Amino acid sequence: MKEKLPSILLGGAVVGVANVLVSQIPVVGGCLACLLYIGAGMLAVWHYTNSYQVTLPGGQGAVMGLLAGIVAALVSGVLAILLIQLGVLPDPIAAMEASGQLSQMPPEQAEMALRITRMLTGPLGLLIGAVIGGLIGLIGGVIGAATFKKGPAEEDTSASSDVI
Amino acid sequence: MALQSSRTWLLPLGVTGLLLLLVSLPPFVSPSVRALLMAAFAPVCHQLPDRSFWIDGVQLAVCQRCYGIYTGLFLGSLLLPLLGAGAQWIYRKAPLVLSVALLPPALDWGLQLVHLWHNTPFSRTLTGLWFGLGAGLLLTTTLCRTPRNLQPQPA
Repeated sequence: MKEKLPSILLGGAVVGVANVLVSQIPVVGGCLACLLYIGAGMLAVWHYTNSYQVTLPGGQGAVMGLLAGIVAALVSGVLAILLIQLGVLPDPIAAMEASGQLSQMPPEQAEMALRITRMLTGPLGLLIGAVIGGLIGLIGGVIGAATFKKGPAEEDTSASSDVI
Repeated sequence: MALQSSRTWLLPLGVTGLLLLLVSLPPFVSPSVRALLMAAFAPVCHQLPDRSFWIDGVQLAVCQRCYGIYTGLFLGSLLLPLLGAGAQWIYRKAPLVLSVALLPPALDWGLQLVHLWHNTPFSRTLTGLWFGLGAGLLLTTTLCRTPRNLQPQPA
């Protein structure tokens, strides 16, 4: 049984760290975010097919992409929370208040912005980030399976529990 | 080549349909659910108000380009039965399909970055839709049309 977990962790970790770094670049940051999560799935599949010189069925690419997207979202979320706690990244709520963004918004919109920011910097943010990251990573994993065809096709075991 | 099974087709259709539904919901739900949806998509989109669609004064959960991508992904998944033998061609030429799908949004975004082009809501949505269509077709053909034990053919 070829080991898929290192490829999943690699794809997720690289994209998770990249997401935090890229998000700090003005203008460019948020524009690349969804492509990065698609990239997590693609990177995991690329690493696996390149290591073992195989072609993955779409189902296995989907599972690898799903897991890589979840890992990417968790790494990105935990890293961002840690860096905020350490003072390396600015506290988003304080930054919003300091910039005067909130005072320019209608009260309902300002309250919404605060709610979103609080959710994003807590456990609930990690959970919902993992769900959305996983779904987008799944798409990337399947696209990766089609794009990186390296050798003989592997048997499709995506429906079984030993896929990892 | 026939579909592996109609249930296999439901996976890409379900995933892309769910994503499209979730990003479209904010104007139609309560403020607390709206906040949850906006928070869910904040890590994957900048959600800039002036680059997003609004319905009845409420912003959708992603920007115009991302909304085009999610719509394209869903439409791409829906189009599979119309493709016939073209689906196998798409699977075989996946790197080319992906490159052609990525080129217009990359140009629209990159040329704006270097001040050679000023993109508009129309160009952002259309190029996002184009990429989404390509990605959706790749997603669905790979899941539904690839035989389980086939030697890959040269690209």
